[in-house]
Amino acid sequence: MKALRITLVYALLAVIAATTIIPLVWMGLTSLHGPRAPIPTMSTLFNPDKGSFIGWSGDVTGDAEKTTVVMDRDHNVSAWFAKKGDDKNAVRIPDDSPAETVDSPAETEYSLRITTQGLGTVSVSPESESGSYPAGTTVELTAVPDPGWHPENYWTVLTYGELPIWRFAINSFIVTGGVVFFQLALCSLAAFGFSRLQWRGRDPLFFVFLLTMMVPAQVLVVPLFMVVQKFGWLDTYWGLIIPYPYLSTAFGTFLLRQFFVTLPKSLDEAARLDGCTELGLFWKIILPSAKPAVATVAAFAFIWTWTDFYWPLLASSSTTMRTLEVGLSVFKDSYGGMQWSLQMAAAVIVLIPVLIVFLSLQRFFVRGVVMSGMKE
Amino acid sequence: MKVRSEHNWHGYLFVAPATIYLAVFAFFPMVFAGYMSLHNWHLLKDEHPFVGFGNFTKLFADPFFRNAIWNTLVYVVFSVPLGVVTSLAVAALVAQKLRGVGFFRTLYYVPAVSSQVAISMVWIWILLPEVGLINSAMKWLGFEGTTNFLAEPGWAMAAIVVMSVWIGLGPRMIIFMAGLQSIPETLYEAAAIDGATKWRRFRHVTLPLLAPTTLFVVVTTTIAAFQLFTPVYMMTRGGPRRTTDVVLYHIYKEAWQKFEVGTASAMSYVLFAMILIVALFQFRVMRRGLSEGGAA
Repeated sequence: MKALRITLVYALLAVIAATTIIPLVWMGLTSLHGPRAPIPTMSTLFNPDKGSFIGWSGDVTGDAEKTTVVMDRDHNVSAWFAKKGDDKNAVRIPDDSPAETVDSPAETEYSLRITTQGLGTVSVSPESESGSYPAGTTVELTAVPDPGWHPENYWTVLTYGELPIWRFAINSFIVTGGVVFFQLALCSLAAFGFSRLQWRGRDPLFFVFLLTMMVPAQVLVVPLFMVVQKFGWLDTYWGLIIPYPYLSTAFGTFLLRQFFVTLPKSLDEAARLDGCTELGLFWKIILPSAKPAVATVAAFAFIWTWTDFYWPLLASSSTTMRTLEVGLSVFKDSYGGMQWSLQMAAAVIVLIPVLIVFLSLQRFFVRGVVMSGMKE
Repeated sequence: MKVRSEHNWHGYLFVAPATIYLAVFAFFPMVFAGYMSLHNWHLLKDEHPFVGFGNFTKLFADPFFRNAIWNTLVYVVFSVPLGVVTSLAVAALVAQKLRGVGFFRTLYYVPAVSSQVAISMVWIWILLPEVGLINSAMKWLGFEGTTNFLAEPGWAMAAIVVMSVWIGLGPRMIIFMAGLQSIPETLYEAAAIDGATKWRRFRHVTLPLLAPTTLFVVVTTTIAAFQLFTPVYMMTRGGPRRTTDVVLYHIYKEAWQKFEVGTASAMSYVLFAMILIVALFQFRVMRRGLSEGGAA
């Protein structure tokens, strides 16, 4: 009976694990696919009944170099239509709305321009030998992907000219390192002051610190942006590092203070007997003893800053100042539409450093989460 | 005492950097936001006429903002209970002393520390019509047709809810585990001796003693839920048909696409008020539940 229960538990755990593993594996596999455009068959797009643009003629597979499938946000195909011989005045079929109607007398022929960015081919059905069809034909477009594995996708992503992933990574390192260091400095000093020293107004001020933790970031972001703008820090490292509204200094101070309070008072007394100053006590004794707590705050700060999206999005505008998170989102938007394999490769590249840091520091995470949850 | 006054001013020195920092980068912005919310403030214009509470009244009359509030509430109402219950269940599962449990624990935590942007991209891929993971699986199981989740008004929000629950599972699970571990074994043993079944033990020993932890998880999850942004920005841009336009995304559009920082500040204060009210309410309700339930 017990064996059955244990098996059941493992089974459940495995099922839940699958929900994490399968997407990640899928992502990894996709990143190695040949670039392709996953187009659903779009026969309704060309449906004459809806009064939308109909009819086409011409060679649709065309020259592989020049062909691109234009994908819109909803992953539908949109295509450009131009009157035969009049490519300049191409009219684009809008995403999925049949609302745009164009006069299309049955006799007019239209050529269909489909581009695939040289990635796989688009097959059209029904096929036409002459390359022309009467107006009103319903067509289906299917993307045919490149078979095989393409690990060079990663290299393509890394060397993609307009979006320098190297630069993004460096920025992320600088910003995250800066934030972690800065916050550790502020928080440990303050936590020391709140825990090992007695002075008037200590506890009320600590309470005020805690209050700032409760203010959600959105209230701060807009005015913070303007403050940063006034300082001239927009689009600079200063602006990305110093005013970090999320890494609530109060949180780090709180965590560290909780820990400092547990250190025995005898340490202080011994040090003072030896003639140690406050700063010496802080630097030589308390801080080294608090390594686990400090590591916890650092671990949290690192991951939090590295994966943050909102503030870097606002505080940076030029491509060269973007961090990895923001760069990745720009990547998705700008890189010619839905090149899924490349996007997945980029996502994998971004995830790897985070996972490495997390796996090596996981026990600090657990500790930190628990410490923050256990209120006094 | 001599010791006390001797160390008095040192304390100020130590906390000074952090205090100054918070004053400049937390307090001042907060107050400034309040100030801006009372003005008609466009980022690129020089004139900022005072409008008193005009921004706020305009907001409440604005159907788009009301829609944003509605969407946010819908999201909170669905994602918080779902998130709390699932993480409690998983925590109970993972708290068993079995071999290899640590591996699963770590695995479940991975989505929470990963790049939200990357995860959003992965989920877009999963939800793709025709070739996405879910639609492929459904086809494999024999279902006809295909759903473009992110383009269907009801489904888009549902997808984001599921995704958020999945992401937040890890940290919530850890907190519940800590709470579960703090319940003394002896209580379970005593209940077992009294003839209580597993389920009854769970209901009458675990749940009540877990109440403070549960309260913490509920409140923090709710506060985080009100601040939903990245999935909306990455996956739906507020659509389809504004069904995922949550307040924070709405603020983003107002401030950085329309440059109306006055109304944006007003919106952020409204959001802040909402969070406060809900959090306080939760506290009250659960506190009362605590005292009436009579924890052992």
